[in-house]
Amino acid sequence: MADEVFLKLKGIKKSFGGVHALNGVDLEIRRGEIHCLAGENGCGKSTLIKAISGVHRVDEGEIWIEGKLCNKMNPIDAINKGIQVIYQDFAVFPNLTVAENIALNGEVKNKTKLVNWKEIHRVAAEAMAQVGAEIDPDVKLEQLSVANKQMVAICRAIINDAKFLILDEPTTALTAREVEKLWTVVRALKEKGIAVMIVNHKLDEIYQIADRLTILRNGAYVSSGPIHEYDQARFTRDMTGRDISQEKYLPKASEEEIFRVENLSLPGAFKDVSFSVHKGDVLGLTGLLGSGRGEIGEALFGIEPAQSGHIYLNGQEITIKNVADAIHNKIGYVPEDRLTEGLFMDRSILDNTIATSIRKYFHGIKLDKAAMEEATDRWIREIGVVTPSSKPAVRTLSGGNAQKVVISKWLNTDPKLFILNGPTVGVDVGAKSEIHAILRELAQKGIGIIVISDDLPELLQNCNKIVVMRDGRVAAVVDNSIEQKELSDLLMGRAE
Amino acid sequence: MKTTKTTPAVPALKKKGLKPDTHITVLLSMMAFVLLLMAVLKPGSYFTISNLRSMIFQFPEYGVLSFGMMICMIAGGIDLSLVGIMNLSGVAAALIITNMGGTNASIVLGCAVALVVGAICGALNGFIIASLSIPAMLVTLCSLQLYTGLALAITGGPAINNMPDAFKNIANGSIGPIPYVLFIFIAVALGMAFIMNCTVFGNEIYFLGSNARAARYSGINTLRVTVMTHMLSGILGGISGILITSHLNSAKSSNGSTYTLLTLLIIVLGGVHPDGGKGKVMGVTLSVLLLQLIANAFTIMRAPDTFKTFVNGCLLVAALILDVVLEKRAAKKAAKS
Repeated sequence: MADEVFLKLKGIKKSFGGVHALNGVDLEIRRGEIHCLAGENGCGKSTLIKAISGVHRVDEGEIWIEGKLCNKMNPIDAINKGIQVIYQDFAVFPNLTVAENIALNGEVKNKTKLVNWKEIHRVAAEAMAQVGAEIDPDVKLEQLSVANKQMVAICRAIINDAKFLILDEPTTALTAREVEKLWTVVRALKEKGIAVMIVNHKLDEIYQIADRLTILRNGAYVSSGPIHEYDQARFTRDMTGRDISQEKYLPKASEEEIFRVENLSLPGAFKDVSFSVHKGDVLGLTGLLGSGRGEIGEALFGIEPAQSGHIYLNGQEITIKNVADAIHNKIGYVPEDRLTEGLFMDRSILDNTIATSIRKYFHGIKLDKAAMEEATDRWIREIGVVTPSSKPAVRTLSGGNAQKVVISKWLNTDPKLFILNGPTVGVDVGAKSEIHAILRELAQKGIGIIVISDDLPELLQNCNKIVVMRDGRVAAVVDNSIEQKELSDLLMGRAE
Repeated sequence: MKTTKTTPAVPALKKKGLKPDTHITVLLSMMAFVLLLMAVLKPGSYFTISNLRSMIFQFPEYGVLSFGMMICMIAGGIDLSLVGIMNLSGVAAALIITNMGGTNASIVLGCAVALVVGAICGALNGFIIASLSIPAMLVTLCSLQLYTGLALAITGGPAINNMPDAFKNIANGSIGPIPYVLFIFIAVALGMAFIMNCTVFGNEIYFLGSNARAARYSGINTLRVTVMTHMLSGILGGISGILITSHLNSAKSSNGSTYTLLTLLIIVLGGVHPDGGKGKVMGVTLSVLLLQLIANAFTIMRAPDTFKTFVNGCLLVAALILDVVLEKRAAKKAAKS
């Protein structure tokens, strides 16, 4: 039994300053198994990976690799012991070719002075054959898709006699098909006796691939076991520490119309789009990439305004030609790319919260800093941003918390219509359900809510009305009683 | 009395996080170091009223200019045309004053025109940068040529001299022992601190410099803020133009040609981040004073000027390294909380 175990961690603790990033983590990785490490953002997954790969030295606890105590590893030691990590950005060289990317590491490691091009091609071809990848070895990395870059990173990792491969959230940027392909490769590695640990928090993907699962929460070990011991409820409970309702949103139907668009068109993006939002509605807007779903959001917020059509808010027709118009009409927009469009990462939570509403704090001749602080503190409490104060830079927050700050920013402008584009992308389960609860509450208060998303389960659970876009037109408007399969067919255009 | 006053103050301090800024502490200790060194080396000639006065007469013109550079860099850009704006405004003021016979009214008008010229030059910079999305560095590099060339074309080469005494007095006169320019510098510094901290515009400059895209998505009118930022920078250039013309009793296109790099040195040393979004008026003010203390120390020590450039270079490199080190430390602290 003992020699089956490749890696064993016991009571690992690591703190930065006064904060325990890891507070007693146990983990056991067996040879040739596929192990999933799950947990919400900020639960210590990345710190744990860095501890295993020798980047961080642990404060307490034991790291056993192949039966040897290895507490004082550096990254080179870890690689020599066969531990390879593939981070989310893959750390590949975009301006080098596939073959160079795969083989150069080995050349450097073997202290070769001269580059042997034949050898490089041989090594690259061999590595690709091992994982079953078929990529032209002479293409530069920057020309490859995300999935192929990942393949190259995997090939590079295994040529150095890897025994244990860690994949950090490998599926975030992949399409469903690419994920399938990745799993094939992972299974091939497993066949060769290589242990693979996948960091992931999507349960359906974990079911597809994992043999065993370990869940962390707040830097501590929660549970571990074979995958079949986990159902959806236990998984969510272990991840978040509480039960999360899967209840569908079914508001009382209201006659009171809040928002309506008629025949909204923007050539090249969408055409003749009409829909309405009533009081209490959380409207979902979905479609495949390129269907125009995102463009409608940007048009209603004035980023790329519609060229024709009518927009009514609370019974009044409004025109939106730019962002200022949208804000003037009390329309809020949470953009799809939170990091570059939604947030000032280096500025404080306070700055981010009042960024759009700063004018209302300008009294007499100066800004009322106390009122700004009070408002921010109120939103931190109401929305539930996990932070000691309003001072820390948003950069230090997890994805879910950062998204709550973006939401606070708009709520502080008292919006009448609130459009959210991909509100829960990269947000963990707990924060996700909190954000959903906030949206429901806002809808009940009479604020029009539009959620733009391609996360079908999310839409079906939270939106009582779903507008399906296809090729720039409204293909269907449905309620959330339909099955996910039907909705997906509508998106693809396989049904009417 | 005492207890009632202090008790509410303590939590308020904690809440606002008014702990001393590390960068400012560093600048203050560097200043203390220079002062201490001079106290040991040249106590007699450094700490005299006349030396202090000679220092005060020198720094305000480039000090005011530094604030212009500062806001442009905080907004995520740069203003390389400031010296051009300064000289063009100076030439405009000098032309009006000398042609109107040097009356007091002409001085007031000349100064007003200098500020307007500065504002127009700056606004033009800002408009080109924001409306065509051309990098500020390119736009202002070109407009430096434009404004300098315009000043040169207007003067036709030689400097405009023989300014009236009342005008010369602006940068050379004093109330008792205190030069007027000190008041001007203090007023500008306080005004800038107020704008950056207490107004919507100041906050919008920080937002724009932190993330221009997010600023747009937050409903900030980035065109307006960019134009206004460069316009304010231009007005500060105009003030410098008045000061330098008055100080040297001469307006020409090539005054203060070393000020572009000097102001960059000052603001980077003062903690303004070249990527934008970061920087404080306090830091820049201290940095201006520190460089003046050092420059003056060299004069007193009769050290060669060539060596001064070397020391300034060392300071700049040290400031850059220090910034990175402090940022890393701050990141670690942030990870704590």
